[in-house]
Parts: sequence; C-alpha cells; structure tokens
Amino acid sequence: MFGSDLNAAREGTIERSRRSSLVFSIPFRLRPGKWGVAAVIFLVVLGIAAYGTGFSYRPAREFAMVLPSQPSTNPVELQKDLGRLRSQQKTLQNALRQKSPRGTYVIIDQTLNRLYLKKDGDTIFEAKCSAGSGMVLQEGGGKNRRWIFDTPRGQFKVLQRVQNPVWKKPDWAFVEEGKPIPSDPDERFEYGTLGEYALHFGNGYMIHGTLYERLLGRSVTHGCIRLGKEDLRKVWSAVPLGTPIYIY
Amino acid sequence: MRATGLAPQLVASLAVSAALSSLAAGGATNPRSEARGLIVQNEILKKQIELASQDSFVLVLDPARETLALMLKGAVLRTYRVSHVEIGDPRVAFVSRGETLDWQGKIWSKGHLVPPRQQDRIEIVPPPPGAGEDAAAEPPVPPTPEERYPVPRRYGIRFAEGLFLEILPLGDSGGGLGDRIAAWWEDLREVTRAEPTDRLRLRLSLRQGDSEALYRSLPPDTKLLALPPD
Repeated sequence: MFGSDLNAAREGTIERSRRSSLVFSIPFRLRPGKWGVAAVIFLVVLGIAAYGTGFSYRPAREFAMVLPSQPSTNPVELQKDLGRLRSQQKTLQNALRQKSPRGTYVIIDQTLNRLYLKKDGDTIFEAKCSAGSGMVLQEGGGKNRRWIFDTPRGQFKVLQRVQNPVWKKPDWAFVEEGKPIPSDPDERFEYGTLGEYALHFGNGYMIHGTLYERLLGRSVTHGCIRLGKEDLRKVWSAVPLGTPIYIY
Repeated sequence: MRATGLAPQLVASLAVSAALSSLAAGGATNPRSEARGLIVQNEILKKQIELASQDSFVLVLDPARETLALMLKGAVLRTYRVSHVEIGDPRVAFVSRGETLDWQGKIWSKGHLVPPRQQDRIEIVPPPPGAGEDAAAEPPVPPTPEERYPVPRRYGIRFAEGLFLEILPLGDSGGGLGDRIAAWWEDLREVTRAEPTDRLRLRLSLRQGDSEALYRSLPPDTKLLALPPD
C-alpha cells in the first residue's frame, strides 16, 4: 500500500477501532450476541406482561345484575306485566317493613363496648358499656367444665325487668375464686353488685349496673353488658319488656 | 319521601321503588324501561326480605348512595360512609380472567376478614380450693379495643363465592414502594393461580374511623348484598 492509501487504511482502522472500542471495552463474556438480545427482548416482554397482570380497577358505576326475566315486547302483555309488577312491589315493600324494627330498640357493639338506644331508626342515646372479656375458665380437679366469657351475638329481646337485682352466682363464679360450690342455694346470692336495675335477655345474660365504672369501655365481663349508673337509669326508663336488642 | 320508623337502607330502597312507581303513574318513561326497573327493584326487595328472615349479619353496599350498612334481621346496626367504590377485574398480561356480570343483587356469603382479627384468649387460673378469701388474683385490666385489635392499613373481607371486598382508608396512597411491590406480588400470585380465589374484587374507601370500626366489629360469616344503581 502506498502513501494516501496507507493513510486512508490507517484512518479506517482507527475509526473501526473507535467504534469497536466500545464493544471491546465490554468484558468478552457480556457482549450481547444474538442470544443476549433475545434474552433482553424476552425480559422486556415479560416485564410488560407482568405490568399487565394483577387487578385492573375502574369506578363501579355500571349495572351488573342478572335479571330473572325481561319485560315483554308485546304492548298488551307489557301493560299487564306493569300492573303485576307494581302490585308485587307494594306487597314486597310491606313485607320488608314488617321485618324492620319499629319504635325503641337497643344496639350493642360488643367489640367497641358501645350501647345505642334507637327509636324509629334514630339514635337517641349512646353509652359506654362493657361486654364479655373472652377469657376462658377451666375447672380444675379433674373436672371438665370450661367456660368462655363471650357476649353472644344476634337478636334478643328484653324478657325481664328487675329492680335492685340480686345476683345468683353460678358455679363458675365460685370456681373462679377458688371457692367450693355451695350446696345451699341461699349461699349463692350476692347483693348490690348488679346495680339498681337489670334487663334480662335470655340464658342468664343481662344488661345491668357495675361497681367498676372505671372499666367501662373495656371488655371485662363474664358475658353480660354492664352500664354506668346514670346510663342504666336512662336505658331502664326507655326500654320496656319485649324491646329488641341487637348485639354484634 | 321521608319515612319515619324505618332504617335508612330500607328508606333508600323504598324511595327508589316509589320514584319508579310515580313515574309509571305519570306515564313519563318508556314502559319497557319502567318494567325493567320494577323487576330489578322487586328482586332486590326479595333478597332483602330473605336476608331479614335469617339470623345472619349482612353488609348492604349501596354505591349510588355511598353507604355500607351492617344489618341484622332488617335492623341497621351501623352505617359506614363509603367513597370511591371500584371494581377490579383479575387479568393476566392484560387479558381479563374475571366475571363481572352479576355482582349486584346477589348474596355473597361467609365473609371473613383478611387478615383475620386476632383474638388471644386468656385463660383464668383459679386459685386452688380452700386457698382463702383473698387468694383469688385480681384479673388483669384488659386493653381497650384499640389496643387489643390493631387494624392493618389495608384489609379485606373474602366471601365464599369468590368476591373480595378490599377496604382502604380514605386518602390511602398505597403506602411506600415496598408496600406496593408486596401488594403487586400478592395480586400476581392470586391471578396466576389455576383457580383464583378472588374472581372479582370490590375496593372501597372508608374514613379512618369507619375503616377501623368495621375491622374491629365485623361479625364472622357476614353476608354481602350490593345494590345496583338507580
């Protein structure tokens, strides 16, 4: 090669060297061959697919209900259907009204320890109460009795109203204190611990007063609902026999 | 219409029915549309009567009125204000694998909290018999409900038929990057199962107080009824 050809060749070599220097600066094992490029493309596609995988959310505004039937397209039949459907609606509305409580009723949130006195759907009074602790008492001495101190959930009603109630202590009360269970029934009665009033709602559960008002708002009872003195007076005056009680 | 003596959810349901009826009397709407509306309302009323006849707790979701009501035997126990009701379809690589047709007007059953509310039962250890008058130990003062039941930032209620009701506090930004990655990974695992547990998700935003109260108070095996739009 002579003169200018040699220079041109040298410059070409230098230029190729500059371009390939980038490649040759990468360690040999990482240089992207065709498999590397395929891997990159695969990862990109996988990434896009992963981005599109999961739950896609949109505002829930659409109608999404399967109907049991469709209205007739025949005008005469349609008018008949309309009359029937309107009549059916009135019947159903009345039936639903019958199911809902009317007048005064009590709602108790046993987890948050709140009692609500309701009248015709409106809250007229709210009080802090105490519900069941959830604690477990296992009777010892080889006996298998076990008590769980939960307040039951469900619908109940006031079955009995008692002024100045006397507590007839059940067996667990003696077991809990490590005392023998008395054979004489008179030894079970305890005076003054239930407050001024008690509203029984079944299976031994009551709404009653307490000596431990500082613990109201906490789940401390053996299943009954405790109220403070003033709140108990308000509930007593507003809640007649048969009043529904809902506990959740 | 103001109907005294009735729970708010019932008032809403009856108000819509009354509106439809009055429109029918005035002849102001297409009769076929009116008939369709009546069919919808009557189906909802039937479902509500069915639920009010059972001993089950029910959540009634009304997206149009933005309320979620906990009910038992036709009585509204508590109403939670809801914002931003969203519906989520499971999808894999942008292809939907969900069923969104009939989540309204249908009873979803056996709702349970995810993660579950932990309940540690303390066992009372009675003193030995004859130990004496003062031997019974003073039981410990239990924690408040707020202390006893910490509420996760996000939680849900999973129903047996494949609906997951996700509850978010209002204004929730999704948490930090780690939280979002963890949530995305859980979603990915869920939708790529051969048989996904969640065929459909509803996402609700509740105020902080309501969100916490719902988590702490939700009874087990609660049912759900979602109302259609008016």
